Amino acid sequence: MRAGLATFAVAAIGSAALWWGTDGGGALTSEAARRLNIAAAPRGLPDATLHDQSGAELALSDYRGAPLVLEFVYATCPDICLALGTAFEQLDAILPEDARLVSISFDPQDDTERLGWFAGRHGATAPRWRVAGIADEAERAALIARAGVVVIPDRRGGFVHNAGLYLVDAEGRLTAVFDPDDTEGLRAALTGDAR
Amino acid sequence: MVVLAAGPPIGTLLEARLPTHILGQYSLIVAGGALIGGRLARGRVAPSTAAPALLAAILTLGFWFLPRWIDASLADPAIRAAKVASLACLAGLPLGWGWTQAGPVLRGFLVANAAAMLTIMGWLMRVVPSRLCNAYLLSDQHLLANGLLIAAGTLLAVLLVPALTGSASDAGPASRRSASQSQRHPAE
Repeated sequence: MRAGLATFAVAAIGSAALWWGTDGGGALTSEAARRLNIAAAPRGLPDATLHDQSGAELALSDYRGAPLVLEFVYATCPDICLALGTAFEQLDAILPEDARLVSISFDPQDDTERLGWFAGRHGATAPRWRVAGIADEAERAALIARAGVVVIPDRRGGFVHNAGLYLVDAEGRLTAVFDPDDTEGLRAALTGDAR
Repeated sequence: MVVLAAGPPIGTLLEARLPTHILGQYSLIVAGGALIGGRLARGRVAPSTAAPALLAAILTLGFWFLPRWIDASLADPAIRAAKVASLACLAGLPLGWGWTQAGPVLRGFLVANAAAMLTIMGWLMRVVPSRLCNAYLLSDQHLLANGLLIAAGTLLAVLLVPALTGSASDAGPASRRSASQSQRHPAE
């Protein structure tokens, strides 16, 4: 009897811990947890000075007042960033005119030439769609950390990173993260709640 | 053993790759706790504590196998400390205690379930096309999957070989006690 009660108590406490540790079974991975957390509590993004594919400088905060979609890439990425670029091409075609797109490179090696190459490959043209780097290391790290982007070396000279489409509202708050192939979901959110 | 596996430089080295993090560091920390648990249980007869102790170990290990908390333990020193402490005290220690107190049926049940869970986790990690942990490469995930499948096979062999060769013996305290009682009172 005592053994049964003790086993039941341990099972109850353990199940509660697992329930808490997975946000009610909804987030087994840190990526899922990040998305749930952002959707539940939109977070402000730190400002950063961007330099785009034409060499022009502007601040991320300059985009306030209209919806913005971000993605984090690096110019020489051979796989997932190409999919992200394609997703932005689709968003470029379907989002309202006042919405803006910025592909932000987390690779400090991405200079204006490389950013221009990535922009040319995907047909990105300012001011609608900028491909930009952040020269200041602290600003770049702060923005990436706040967005929950994790970048690790791929042991072949490139990087592996979690991919997503980041919806930022007119007040500069990150409100949702979408899969690269969920451009329709992002459009629906942007034309509805994000404004 | 726990301090060695968790502290620098060995802890840092083990955490650098997913297979060594889980199969190396976790195993060493749990084994360290289990040695203490086993020593504490020596000479004590409390078979009713075996099941809750083993369940506590399973649930604690299950928690720290979640990709989300593997990532979190690398990003946050407080969570890392919680991982080391709970793997030693809530997984290893009760595992050593519970294993010493458990009879053959419970031991067999535990090993069979552990093998099944390791197989499922290994298979899942092999077939999922994306990374489960943000902090590790997909190739590391596949290596861990192979390691888990090998561990499952080893556990099954440990369970089946003695059973098939007839060399399985009972080392649980309850049965040892009843065995000694029947030797003293063979007619009863």
